[in-house]
Amino acid sequence: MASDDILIRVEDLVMHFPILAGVLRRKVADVKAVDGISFYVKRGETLGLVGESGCGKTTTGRCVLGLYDITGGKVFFEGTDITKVTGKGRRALRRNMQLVFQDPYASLDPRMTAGDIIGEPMLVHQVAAGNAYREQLAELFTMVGLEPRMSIRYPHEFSGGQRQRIGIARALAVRPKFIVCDEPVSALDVSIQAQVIMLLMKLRQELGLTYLFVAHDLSVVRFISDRVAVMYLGKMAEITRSDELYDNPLHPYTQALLSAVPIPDPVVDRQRKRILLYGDVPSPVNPPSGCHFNPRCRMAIDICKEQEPELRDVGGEHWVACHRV
Amino acid sequence: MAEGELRAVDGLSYYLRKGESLAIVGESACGKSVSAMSVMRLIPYPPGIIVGGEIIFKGQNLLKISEEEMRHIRGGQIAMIFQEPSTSLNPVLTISRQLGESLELHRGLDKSAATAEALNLLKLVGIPDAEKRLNDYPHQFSGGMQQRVMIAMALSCNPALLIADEPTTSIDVTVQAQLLELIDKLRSQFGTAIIIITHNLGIVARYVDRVVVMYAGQLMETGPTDVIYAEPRHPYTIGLLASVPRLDLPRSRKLSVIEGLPPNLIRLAKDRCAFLPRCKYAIGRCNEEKPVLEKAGEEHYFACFVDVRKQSESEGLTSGKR
Amino acid sequence: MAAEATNKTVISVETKGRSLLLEMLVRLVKEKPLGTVGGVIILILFLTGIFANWIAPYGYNEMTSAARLSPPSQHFLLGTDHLGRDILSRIIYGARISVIIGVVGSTIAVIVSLAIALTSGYFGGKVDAAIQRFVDAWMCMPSLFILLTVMSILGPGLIQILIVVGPFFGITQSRIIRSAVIGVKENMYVDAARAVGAPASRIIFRHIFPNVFSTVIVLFTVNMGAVILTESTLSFLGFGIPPPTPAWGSMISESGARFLLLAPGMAFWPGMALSIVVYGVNMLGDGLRDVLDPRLRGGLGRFGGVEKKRAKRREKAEKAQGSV
Repeated sequence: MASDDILIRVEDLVMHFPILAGVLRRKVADVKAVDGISFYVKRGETLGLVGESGCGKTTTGRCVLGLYDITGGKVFFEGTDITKVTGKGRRALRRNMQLVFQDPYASLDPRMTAGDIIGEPMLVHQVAAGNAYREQLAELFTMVGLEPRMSIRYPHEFSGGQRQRIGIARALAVRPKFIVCDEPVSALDVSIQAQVIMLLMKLRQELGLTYLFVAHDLSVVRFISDRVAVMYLGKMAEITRSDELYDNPLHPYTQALLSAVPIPDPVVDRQRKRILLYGDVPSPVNPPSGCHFNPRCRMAIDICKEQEPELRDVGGEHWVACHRV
Repeated sequence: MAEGELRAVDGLSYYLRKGESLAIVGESACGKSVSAMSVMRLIPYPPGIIVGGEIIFKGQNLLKISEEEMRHIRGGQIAMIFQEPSTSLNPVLTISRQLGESLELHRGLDKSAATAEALNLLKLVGIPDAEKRLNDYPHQFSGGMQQRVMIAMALSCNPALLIADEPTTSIDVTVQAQLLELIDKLRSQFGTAIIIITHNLGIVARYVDRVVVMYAGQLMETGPTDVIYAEPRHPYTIGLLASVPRLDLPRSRKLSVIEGLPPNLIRLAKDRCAFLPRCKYAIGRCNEEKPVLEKAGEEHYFACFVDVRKQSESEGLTSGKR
Repeated sequence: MAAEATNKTVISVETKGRSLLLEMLVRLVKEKPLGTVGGVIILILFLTGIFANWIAPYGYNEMTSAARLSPPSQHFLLGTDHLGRDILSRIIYGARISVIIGVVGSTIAVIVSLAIALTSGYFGGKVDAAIQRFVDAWMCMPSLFILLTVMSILGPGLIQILIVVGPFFGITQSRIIRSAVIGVKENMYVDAARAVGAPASRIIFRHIFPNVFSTVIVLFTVNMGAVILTESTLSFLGFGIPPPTPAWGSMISESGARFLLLAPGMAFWPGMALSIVVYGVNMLGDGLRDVLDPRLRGGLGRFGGVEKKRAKRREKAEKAQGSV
């Protein structure tokens, strides 16, 4: 595959957050939110990132955008290592990479009108002013299915779904190439979720966007993504094409995760094999040795406790990190 | 009532047999939680008021009995678990005290017997090292474990009915599966009837016998789970089922979108179908009167004038299998 | 469609800035009767201060030696003081000093508070720790000690009072704004601004400042009362506005207290004026805080008073038409 097909490449990304304690704020431990993961996102595709809370999926999204000073590893955007870029170059990069937030209530400034919120990136990056600004603003409103005359309203005057549209329009305002969607639909009602998912898919096609779609809902992620990456406790468990995710999951965690999601059809669901995991996800401060999943894994053998499995290519754009595969 | 009233739940009827599980399904603010709170008579008054209707529990109208009698039923005969286990547990009491207190109160056990029973309950709901954890405080438990404690508390008095209000919404999928399996196991073991309030259609399909679909405080459709999923009759049910992505179907299947916004309960027209503004099957009659429940089959009722079966089949929204 | 839409936005973008102040005022009057009362009191205070020369029946230092300590009468509506000066006139002239001290002193205080709080709260970490230890140390010192020390160096006078009292309150009360800043900073929309690529200055002034503004308004009003009272304390100790310039504080404490039994009016009337003004300022502050919060502004907000009325009206209209 030609390397210019790849928009984002992440290599051995490590992000540890220190836990500080005492009067002198000394570091007592690290939250190992992301502990050495690698993946890439091709231009124009959607990569889904799933996992349970504390698996590091949100942190990964933020690191890719350069919002955190990463502990280790590299993040390439169109071949440039964004961690090495500073000053003006960084601002230009920011313009190309935007973020859609999970909570459409908290992520909009309650004291700014919808128009000001959506227009802010344009002002920050000095994309447009005057009439051009107003025209583009109106265009953004229509693009996400809102009426331009709503621009003088405040966020609290919109419903949850409309607010998320505002959040999406804000991300689109500076015509980015790449958008990280951080749980963009999980705070919304079922019927509104579908609206927003379809909007995101439409926009991707029309504007040629590339998404990193972070979510915990496996059905949604599989639906919108071309490929799905499954994370567990700061590690990559499996990356596979979405079409293959349901039919051929290889990692025991992916299998358990899939089986834990009931299918909204009683007849089909009854025929599925159920794998019940025991216990909770361990704390990312003190992850288990070896494969992080081994204490909950039904297939674990001795080597799983001692040696960390590598993410291996098993063919057909399918990677898996498990000793037993 | 000066500012006008908001009908959170409007003319809702359903029934539940001993040991049966029922799901009340709907989106936020559709009145599903309010209807369950009414069963417990936990609607804060003022401003909330149950204007009319009856709630018959074991042949007794719960709206007619005294507050004293109701207190005995609450927690004794009917138990409830909530969405946020962390806010439902008292942070300054140990787990054994929280459980023990309700045992002492409702079952009249003395302190040591209550503690022993608390231990049994914790084991029953699958808390590992239950002996060691008895004297822990709620914050030392994970969300899933807290919800297990809540279930143990709910079960402490062997209730005839357990109401679970979005019991797993704030909990991870793998842990969610554990909890629902636990609730299901307890139902078959003790014959407790269960009302699950949820918006997750997958959970309903897997764990529940019968479904009540609500929209804007009103009943849209009710029936046995298998029937509702295979032959939904109400446009809202059809739309809801077709709007969730499914793991087992090819990704090429398009999601059908229910257009429009969720209803504003204050502005709802009271003599029309609540779903009318968002309904794509609406006919002239929908603008004239409000549909009443109509029988579609064994225990299957829906409130709609339109026979949408042919249309929705041709659009591929429903499978059409009998 | 696109052209039409554009026109609409042009209109809306322009109407917004111009009518905001006016709209706020209208809403204050409509929805906050107490706030309006406060506003009227403050307006009267300002007008009195500005037009004191015309309103006051006598000069502030005009003595009528025949009528010392006289009770209220036709000539002297509120009576006279120990030097035979008309109390009403002195209160009217005193309003000028109170306005200047209250407004300027409180403004200085709030600016100092904001500078400290925004820097400390937004940047956090070591910057915050250093600044806050200084504030801690400052708060440990007895307030009167600091005030008197500086005043005795600078000498008595209006400007000196402002220079001393403003920053003094500013530093002490920066804590309140700082915690508001930290609260606002945790909000997702601040993250969102950062993700968009907005620089720190924009985040501080465009996102954080408007969201702590209600705290600032409340603090400003509280300060205004406190500053006026502090001036009276300083005057009492002889570090205030030098006589014969009338200031309410010194009228109460200096001579008023001395003749309390003989002529209670000497302390009572300025005290009354002071109380009414502080009350008015507080009411106005509360009203403004609510009016400034867009979440409490009508619209679709679930509890918006305006919206409820609008919905009612709409319902009525629909009923009248026979619904659609």
